[in-house]
Amino acid sequence: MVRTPTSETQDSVAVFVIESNSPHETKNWGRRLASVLEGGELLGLIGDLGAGKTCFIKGLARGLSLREEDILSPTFTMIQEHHGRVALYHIDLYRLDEAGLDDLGLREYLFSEGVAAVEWFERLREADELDYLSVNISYSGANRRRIEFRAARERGTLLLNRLRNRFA
Amino acid sequence: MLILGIESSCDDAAAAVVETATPGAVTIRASAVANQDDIHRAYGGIVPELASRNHVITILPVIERALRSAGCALGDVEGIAVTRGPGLVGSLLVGLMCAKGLAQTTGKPIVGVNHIEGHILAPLIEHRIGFPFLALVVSGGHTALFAVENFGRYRRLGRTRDDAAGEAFDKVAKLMGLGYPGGKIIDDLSKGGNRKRVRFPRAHVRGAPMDFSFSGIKTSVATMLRSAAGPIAAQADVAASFQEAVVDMLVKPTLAAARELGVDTIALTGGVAANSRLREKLAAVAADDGRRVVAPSLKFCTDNAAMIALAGSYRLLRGERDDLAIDAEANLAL
Repeated sequence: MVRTPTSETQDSVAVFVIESNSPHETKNWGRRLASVLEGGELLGLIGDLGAGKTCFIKGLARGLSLREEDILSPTFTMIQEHHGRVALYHIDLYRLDEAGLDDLGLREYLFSEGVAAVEWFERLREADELDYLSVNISYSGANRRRIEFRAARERGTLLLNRLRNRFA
Repeated sequence: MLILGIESSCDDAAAAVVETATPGAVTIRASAVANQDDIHRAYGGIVPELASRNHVITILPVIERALRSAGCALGDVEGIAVTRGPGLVGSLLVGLMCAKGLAQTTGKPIVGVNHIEGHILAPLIEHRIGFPFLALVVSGGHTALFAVENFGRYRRLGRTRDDAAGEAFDKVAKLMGLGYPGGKIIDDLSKGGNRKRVRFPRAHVRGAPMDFSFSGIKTSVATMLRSAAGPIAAQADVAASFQEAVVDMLVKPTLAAARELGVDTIALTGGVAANSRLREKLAAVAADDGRRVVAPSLKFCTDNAAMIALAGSYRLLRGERDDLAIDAEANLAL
């Protein structure tokens, strides 16, 4: 699994941008992303309060054959585990100013065989050292959202290309 | 029976001494809380590592404080009840390990308590309520309705599908630049505002009339603040309108559950039960429907150890005890 920190120079950044016109569409993009996951991936969710991060993860869960209604905001518990086709670790760093890999036992979840979906990913100090796919959701209208998928390393870029090739 | 209760599931460390002879009837001899709000305020939220480190410092002094004000010694205690989940695991462990240590050295029985059961039973501290009753547990981490059939017999009727109500208060306060903790700030600000100024949508979960959803309201407030109306709207009006929407979204499923269950008593409990508008409106709506609302006083709404002692007491009275190997469980189910 290629998600351990490496010292090699950063690969070029790959970006894939889509527009979502409703929470329903945002959820569908979560489902689509799930269809290209195999387990062992790290997803970094970025976006303001109310942008639709948890909504996206509900779709992701559905795509992983989990029950969408079991996906609750993990703000209070910080980590929620769901076990389906592959495990989904739903993590929320909202209540932390910043977090390191060694806080909350994050390492255990981020380097697992499951899918780790981390909300407020930008608060993770060591983010730059990891191989991930980031999902940045921003407001572009009352119900419209711009969703930007971005990856810089091998595993994340592979995911991004799969997603783009299949659904662009 | 004299019971020592210990609670440290989140950012408060608490200890209480209660006396009881029959399940549910307790006399509070002492209830002490070491609050960490000042520590976490600078961060705009709870930092788990800081919370557990502070619990290590405060847990023994808060237990000593409770014992002292109860006028008893550790040796007088006949049983220990301690929260074992759900909560932040680092925080839970401090209280649990401490309780296990005390149980080990004194040889007294110990029972692990579910924090939510503590909240469900908290109204019994000050009120006589017959079973069954309905409990609305509403806090920063939980929003759920339970049919309370007896001690240890709780049936969940509904719950939030996304955010907890208290989380919505905290996050909307943050969106509005109001600070932390959001619940009290919004409650206070709303008193000078027009709750009909902005008509925020009331979400309901299709096909599940006793469930809740609070993530949409957060988005609605964010969208409103970004719109042309946002910068010119009075903060008090936005706060009051938001609060009214949350209150309505709590009241409707609660009333539906009370009717479904056919109970006349609704227990309102958890940190958000401190909200003045929720208390007022739920009581009014329930009264119109021939029901009454019972809520603990403020100090027993928020996290405390008296409710943990109460929730452990019926098992201790029956002579039950847990193994010293009990572990903390962050996601403990009821």
